[in-house]
Amino acid sequence: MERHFDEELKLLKQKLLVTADTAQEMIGLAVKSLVDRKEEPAKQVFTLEEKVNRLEIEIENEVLRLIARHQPAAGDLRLLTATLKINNDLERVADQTCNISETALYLLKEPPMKVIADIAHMASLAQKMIRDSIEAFVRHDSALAQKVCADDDQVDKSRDKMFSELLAAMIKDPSLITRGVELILVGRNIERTADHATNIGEEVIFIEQGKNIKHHIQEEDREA
Amino acid sequence: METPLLETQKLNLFYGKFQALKDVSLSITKKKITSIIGPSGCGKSTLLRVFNRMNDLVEGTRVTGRVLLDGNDIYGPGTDLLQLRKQVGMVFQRPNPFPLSILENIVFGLKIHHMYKKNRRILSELARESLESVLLWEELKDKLNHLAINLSLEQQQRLCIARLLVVKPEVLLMDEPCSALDPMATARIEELMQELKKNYTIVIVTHNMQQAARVSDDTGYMLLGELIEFGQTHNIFTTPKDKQTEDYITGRLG
Repeated sequence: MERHFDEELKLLKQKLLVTADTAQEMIGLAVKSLVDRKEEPAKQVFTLEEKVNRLEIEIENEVLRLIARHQPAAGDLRLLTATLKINNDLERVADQTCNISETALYLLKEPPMKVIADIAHMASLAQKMIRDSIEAFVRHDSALAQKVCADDDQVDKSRDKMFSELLAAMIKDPSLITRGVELILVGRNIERTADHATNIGEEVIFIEQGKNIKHHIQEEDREA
Repeated sequence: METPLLETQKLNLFYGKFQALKDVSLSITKKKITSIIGPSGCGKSTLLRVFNRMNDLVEGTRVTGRVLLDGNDIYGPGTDLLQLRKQVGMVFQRPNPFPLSILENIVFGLKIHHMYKKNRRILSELARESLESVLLWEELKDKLNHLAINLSLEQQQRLCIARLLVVKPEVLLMDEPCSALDPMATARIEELMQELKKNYTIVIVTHNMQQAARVSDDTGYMLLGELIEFGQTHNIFTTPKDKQTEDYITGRLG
């Protein structure tokens, strides 16, 4: 039986997808600003952040309203609690892109650095993870969600590689230290973005299977 | 694994040609609250009435399978029905006090079960004890001779529970015990159930899914005479295994 509640859940999901699309766009713009050494994309990021902040509050309010009015259970309950968390993860992603954009604006005034290409690669991995995690959410695809969680290792490796390169460059030429430290922070921002994608993947598995795979703590056997 | 106090094994129940229960096997744990939920006509009240053989009163009822109370088959030969209904008491949807005084209501069961002592002191002590168990003593201690049917519905329901407790049952069966009560009275009866579970095993049939989620430790979902799923209430309401259970508790069953 189709319920009026299903329609309300659909509208909530759509809102979450708008947040997700915006957050993905922001990752692209922040990295573009850094790589292309342009001011405009970074400024767009700051404008979009306001949109994400507004959506975050709207989604929170909507989830509270639906819980209060429908007293959801089972799959509905898992969807709503997970939506609150995914909402929070996406808002944090948006914050990370603002940090990257601020660094991009600072670096515009400095000479370019070679390691930027690695950052672009790492950012595209993180962006894909966000895209896949949302795709998994939309398509109820636990396997894809699981893949997102596994992909996090690639981003971590990429960050480690970039850190050692930056460290070596800074030891060799101490004049690079200020820019180097900024880029290490960017690396950290991207790595955190990938972590948020992993969280979303874990939430999708919780919604679909009722299993909590966080921190590799196995769900206690229901029969125990 | 806790030992079950009540257990059904491949239980089938027929009203004439109509099969009301199909192959129901479940275990009810001691001093826990177990709720049975399901749409109207699913057999949940029938199942409840199996536990003290109330269905025997319906002509043409036939039962196969086993129902164990403390390991003894209550459908086996030589079952003392009076003793069974003392051990397994029932609370109904509408409070049903006798048109007698409050005190006479309480001691009624004692008379039936030959536990009645013509000693005023013992009787008032028992009345006090059972009314205290249902948190009615303070309200009613000076009105024990008043007519029970003049009490509020909630007080009547509490009195009906007190009337069971006085004969020291093991199990309390509750068939929609709050459906005639307002939300505040419902909340207070639910609180009382949590108190009672310290000493008794409770099985409740309810249409109110939120009530099942709030009060019970275990929940069984029934549909068309079958027990579809049985498990810890927490699991049934967050991650049911069966799609039919999910459809019912999320209101999709149409």
